[in-house]
Amino acid sequence: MAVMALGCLEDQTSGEITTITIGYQPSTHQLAAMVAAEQGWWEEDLAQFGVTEVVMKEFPSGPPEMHAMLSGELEAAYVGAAPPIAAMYEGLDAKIIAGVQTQGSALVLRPELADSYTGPESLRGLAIGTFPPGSIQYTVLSKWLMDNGIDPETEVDLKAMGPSDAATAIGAKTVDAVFLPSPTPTIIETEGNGVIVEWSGTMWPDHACCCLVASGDMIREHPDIVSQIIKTHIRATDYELAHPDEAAEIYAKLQGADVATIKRSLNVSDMHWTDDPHLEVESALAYASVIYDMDRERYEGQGIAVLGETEIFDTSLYDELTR
Amino acid sequence: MDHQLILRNVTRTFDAENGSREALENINLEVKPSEFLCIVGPSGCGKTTLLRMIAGLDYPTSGEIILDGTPVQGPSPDRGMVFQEFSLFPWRTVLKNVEFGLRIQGKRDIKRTAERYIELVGLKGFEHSFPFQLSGGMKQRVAIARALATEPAILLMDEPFGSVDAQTRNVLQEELLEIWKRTRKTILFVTHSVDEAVYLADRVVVMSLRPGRILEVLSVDIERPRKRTSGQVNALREQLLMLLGSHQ
Amino acid sequence: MKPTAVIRENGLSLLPLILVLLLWEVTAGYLIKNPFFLPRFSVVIISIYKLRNLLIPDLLTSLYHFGIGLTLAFAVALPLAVVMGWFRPVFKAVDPIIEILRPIPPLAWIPLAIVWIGLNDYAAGFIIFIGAFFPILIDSYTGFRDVPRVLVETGMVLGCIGDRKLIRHVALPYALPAIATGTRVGMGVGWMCVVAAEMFGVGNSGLGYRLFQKFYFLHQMDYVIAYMLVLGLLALVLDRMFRYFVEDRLFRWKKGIVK
Repeated sequence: MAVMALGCLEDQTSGEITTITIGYQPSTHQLAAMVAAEQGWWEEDLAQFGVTEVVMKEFPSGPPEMHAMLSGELEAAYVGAAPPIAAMYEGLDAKIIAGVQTQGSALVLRPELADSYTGPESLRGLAIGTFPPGSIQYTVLSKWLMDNGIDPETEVDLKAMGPSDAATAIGAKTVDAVFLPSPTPTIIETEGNGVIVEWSGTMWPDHACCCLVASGDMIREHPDIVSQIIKTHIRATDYELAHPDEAAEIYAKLQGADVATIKRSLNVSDMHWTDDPHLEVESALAYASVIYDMDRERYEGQGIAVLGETEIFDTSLYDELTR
Repeated sequence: MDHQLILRNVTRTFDAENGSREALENINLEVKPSEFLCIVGPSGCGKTTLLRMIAGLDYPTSGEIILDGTPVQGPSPDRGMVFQEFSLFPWRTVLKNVEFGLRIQGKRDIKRTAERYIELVGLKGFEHSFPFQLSGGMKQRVAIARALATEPAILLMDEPFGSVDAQTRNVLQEELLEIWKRTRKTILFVTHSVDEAVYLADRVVVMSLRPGRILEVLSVDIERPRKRTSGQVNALREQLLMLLGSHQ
Repeated sequence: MKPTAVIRENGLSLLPLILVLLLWEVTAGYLIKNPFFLPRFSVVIISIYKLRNLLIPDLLTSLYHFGIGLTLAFAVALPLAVVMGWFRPVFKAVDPIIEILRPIPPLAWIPLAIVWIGLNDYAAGFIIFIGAFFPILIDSYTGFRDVPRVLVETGMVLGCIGDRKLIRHVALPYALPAIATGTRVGMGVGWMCVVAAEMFGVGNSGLGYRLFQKFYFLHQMDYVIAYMLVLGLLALVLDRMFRYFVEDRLFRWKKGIVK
């Protein structure tokens, strides 16, 4: 077993790295990842470091993605800011190195229930499909409910699922509502299975959503590669900001979605693409606190304290690039 | 005297791959009440098939089987049957086995009747034993008690002592004769042992092979209790063996 | 029993178990030292204690799902086994369908269960039903099919005439040990489906639910293993209890043991 564990770490500690695996999710939040992959920029830009292959690994949501990262499967990941923090509490050696976007998730109610929606009170007793515990969506929704006097553990029925499961569930009426990142809410609305009643930006203004995470080993052993990853990411972010329609087409092509719906989702969502990690620090620290509170007994018992900025972020490489 | 069981022109044909096979051809037999009748013949002569048809477990292709004036149609406790082995219900005690037929028919005084027959076959004290705890001979005794408990008009026995050892067999034969003396039941006893037939029967039906036919019906006019080695017994035995031998 | 006698009697069963646990503790604590990769046995045991407030309701919910599934499996499998085992034409007609459905893993039924039944306890019970159904059915109809002819004919000549009477008085008692075995195997398979049944959030409690919907997503591996142990221990308890109270009793006449 010890030999197996050593074997897992082999790739990162040897001098040569030829394969980089980047995790991501099927959401327009992370279009930068898909744009760079589709245009071949990852391989192009990383070839100079001896990297011959860049593998993009898709996950339905952040928690399973971070589970893979904890297992050493990913060198970098596009993920909401909350999952890596939850994973860091369990020993994940990684840092947030760049921002990806803020806001951009929506609460969708079944059409019959949408008419009587007046606010968070209307959600009492409903079954709501959303991303699993530890995700941005779960955390933002839970905090919003708590702030409005509703206990997310007992007064609503939060069910963890991925984006396509949730879309199916609300269509089959096995849940009453869903809270998901764009474009799924717009897809659900277009299919007539739900009505968007809230955007996450009204629940928690300017809340950090997706960010770019790199493993501790990569940052320590291959800072040049990590720096290039950030650079390519900035290039992709600039592209999607300047050419949203082309970006939408890339998403539709890769995910097999309807182009018009994706373009619409970009228009209606309150999402804001940005590569600046500093914009995400404040809400990230709030996430760290909320996550800590949810399992306080466990972390205190292990002598772990609430994570602070230096433990979560490493903006040194980003700052150098953008000086 | 009125006959109790009459077989008239009974034939049984079986369908095989290459046409049909006549297992029994034109069996005609008349059994008197309280008679002890043995049927002997080589393996495959159809004696078991014949017994099963009388029991109602099989049907003649043509001909009639009539018991006490009524034609036989399917099995009934009227015609009790004792099989060669493995016929006790293994999940029931001796008592519960013997009670079985009585319970099914909803009779009264079930326990007492059953106990009476258990005592008759010499197994008093074993009422609460299970079949797996009994020897082969004891198990057959239980089977006999069970068949007699429903007070059938006639008792059919298909090589009932064929699976026990020689000593036990002799003992069981003597006990059967005792039981027969006391109950006066009509018994039809199938065996391929000539010795057994001579020792037990009032009459012996000798059957032939392919097709099964009644060769001859011999009367055994030897007084009981019979000595297995007496001159009369030996003579009859020889006669039977010759009959069987000449038609192989 | 004297202590040394107890140890000698059970030593062969317990010693390897203790060695494995020691090996686990040492490997996890001193060789691997990565609580995510392999939590220590001692930590896991303490977690079971720490989780006791969640554990009991989760356990009861899982047993509830298990009860629904097992009861349904028994109620459907037994009558079907009777007619399949006793009436050959029924067997020939139904067996092909059974043999096609049987190899489909219970997990594969989850999407259908969610659509047909919804995200509730009955959907979870349904998955467990799928798991338990086939062992009960097959062992039971084999029991009915294998009733020796001589027993059936004995029944008939004693006045037990007609399928219903024969099934009730001869076939069923004969088949009971087979039914018991099938039920025990079905219970084992059914319990293994509890996690699969609960992992998609068909309720909001249960051992499988908590393991997959909470501990996994929050990467709490010591809690994961704690619940795995509970799942295993509970299966052991259920199995042994069934054997003691039901199966051993029914098997007495078959194995030839009294008391």
